[in-house]
Amino acid sequence: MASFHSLYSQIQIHGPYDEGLPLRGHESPRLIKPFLNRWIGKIGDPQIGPTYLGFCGIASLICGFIAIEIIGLNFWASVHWNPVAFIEGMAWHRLDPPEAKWGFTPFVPLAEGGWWIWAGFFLTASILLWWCRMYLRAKALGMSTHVAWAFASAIFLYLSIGFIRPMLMGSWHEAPPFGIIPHLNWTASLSVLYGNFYYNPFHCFSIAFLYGSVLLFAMHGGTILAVSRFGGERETEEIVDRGTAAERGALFWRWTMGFNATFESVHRWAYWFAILTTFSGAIGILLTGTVVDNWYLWGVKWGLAPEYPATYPDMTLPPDIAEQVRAITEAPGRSTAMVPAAPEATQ
Amino acid sequence: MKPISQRPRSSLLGIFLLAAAAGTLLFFLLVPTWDHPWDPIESRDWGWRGIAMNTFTSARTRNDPINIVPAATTPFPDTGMSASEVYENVKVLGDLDSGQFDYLMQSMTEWVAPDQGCGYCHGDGGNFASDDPYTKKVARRMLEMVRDINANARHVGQTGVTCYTCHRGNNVPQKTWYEGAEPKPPMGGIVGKPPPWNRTAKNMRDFFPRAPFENYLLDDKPISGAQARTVSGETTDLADLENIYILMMQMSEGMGVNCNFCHNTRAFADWSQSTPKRINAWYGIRMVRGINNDYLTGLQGLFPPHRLGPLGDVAKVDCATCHNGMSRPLGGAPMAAGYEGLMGPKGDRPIRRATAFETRKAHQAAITEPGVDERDVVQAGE
Repeated sequence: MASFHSLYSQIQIHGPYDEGLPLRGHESPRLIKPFLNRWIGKIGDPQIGPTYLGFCGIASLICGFIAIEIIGLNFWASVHWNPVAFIEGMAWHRLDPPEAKWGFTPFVPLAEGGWWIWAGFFLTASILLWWCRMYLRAKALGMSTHVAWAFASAIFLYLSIGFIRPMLMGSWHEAPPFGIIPHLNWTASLSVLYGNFYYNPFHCFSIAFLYGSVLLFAMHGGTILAVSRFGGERETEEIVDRGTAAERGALFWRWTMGFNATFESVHRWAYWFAILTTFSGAIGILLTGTVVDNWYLWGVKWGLAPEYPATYPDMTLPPDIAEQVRAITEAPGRSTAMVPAAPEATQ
Repeated sequence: MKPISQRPRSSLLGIFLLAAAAGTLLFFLLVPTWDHPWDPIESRDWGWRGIAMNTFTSARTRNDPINIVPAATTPFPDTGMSASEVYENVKVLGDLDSGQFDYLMQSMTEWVAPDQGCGYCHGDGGNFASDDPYTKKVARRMLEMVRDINANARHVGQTGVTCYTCHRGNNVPQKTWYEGAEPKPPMGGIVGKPPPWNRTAKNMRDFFPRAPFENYLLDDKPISGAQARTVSGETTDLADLENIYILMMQMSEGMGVNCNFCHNTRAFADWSQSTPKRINAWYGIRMVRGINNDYLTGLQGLFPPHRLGPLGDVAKVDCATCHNGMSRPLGGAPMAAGYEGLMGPKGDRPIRRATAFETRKAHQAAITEPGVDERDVVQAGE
């Protein structure tokens, strides 16, 4: 029986290697002699290589290597070069940013956070160089640079967390440490410190776009797989020459939700949802501590955080605790307008 | 066109990768202790509907042998004679009826040294009045502690504690902590000071640094300002904040509860949205400080080296020591009921005394620090 061979068949194309466009004069040679791998072919193109590094790629790898070396050697040194302790504590090792007393000066002794600044510098250099590489490779292939700009959005979030916000706050100490569990602790602590990121509207947007990206990905992938039996995987062709695949896909969504994206616009939906995930996250980070100190109280002020009936209306604080709470909330020089009233103390 | 080999070169690699994936899956299925579907997590809703103030418990924790309340024993009849009339050298319980005294002594043996018996504290020489074994001097001080807690600790209330609340049939309670050795900055200080992770940890949960315990369960550092500068009006150092966070996580872990057992997590700092459990926890923290400072630190000189931590300090308590993963130790069983001797005189202050911190400093000054591996540690600042 004749069958329609689409890209969605499980047939792996094993043929002559695709060497790609000829190199231009100033470009460095490609690396890795191409070969085919059946297992990779199960999830993608079976051909591995060639790859291209060029100046940006090589410089990026060097900077990344330096950053990882600084972090890793600091980790290792902190256990006196004990290899067992190094592996054992891998999740807990940490390289901290400078303490608050150093402010935002770049001149911090290595042992007191200088290494963190250097590691951050090289990591940032590595990431930015990798961005240049994404941009230049797209140009070299005559493509537009959408991928590079989406990557730039993620880099903006990274920079906001580790550099721009600490700069606005005037302290390196606001930045996260390097280390697996330490940076997770930082994430939780920072949210608590600034009154719960749950009420940060840009955090909300970021989550909405993140989940939206996932939803769009599933809807789009599902639609195309579902219409591949009608040649729907030829998405770009169907944009200009709408066939039965595009029409069925469109009708399906109009039937189910009254509206459909087109084969063209769904890619813009997905692209902008992905970009806005990190971009709105970055805005939320940049506003934290600079514009808004306490997102929960901000939420109370603007009606985002509703008041619920008290579960324990009869709960009264013993005097020991009430005194402590008063001392904190009624400290001089504090705006008490935003402070929840301290509970009445009765015994 | 190059001829393509019929035999894929990657089949061995693929098989290896699949085997590795299967092995990893099996490892994570079999090695950690999971909550099983047939042993479900129970959820109890505390707050207004929809705000997810839930507490999760599991039968596994409840039925853990360590959390089973031991069978009740029959008290001995009163003899009409006080313990000091019958026995020599009874310093704490002298006024107690000797029948009660014997009953308590027998129970203490079951609680703390079921395998070793009376000799664990009284020595093997048969001279029960002797103060020679260090264990006896420690036990006497612990008795004073239990009496103080039962009489004065608001945290314990009417529930009452006995030796078993912490010891659970062990000479040393299973969940204790030592001060972390603050390591020397390596390489002459060029790479900074590593945090004092608990290097003797047996698992991931123990591995957390001791700094939160040292700061908040031993020293008097305030556990406040962890949130909301506009509310609290103080700027907390993010490093302190992480320590507070770890302390709170260890409290949760020790009691087997979520954050929202005490807090409405949308506004941790706000007492008006918290549950009454937070009041109890507040007193609990102060009780633990009192136990560590008033009682345990003072015993440092009595213990043999193998009972001491890397810095030569005595084992100290945290929430998990008594709670053992339950929100109320042993399910809230009134352990001290029936033991007159475990109720001390009422004081006018809770167990946490203003002088505790100074007492500990004095104790520590009096005790010569045992030798420490110079390569690994510098003297903790005191």
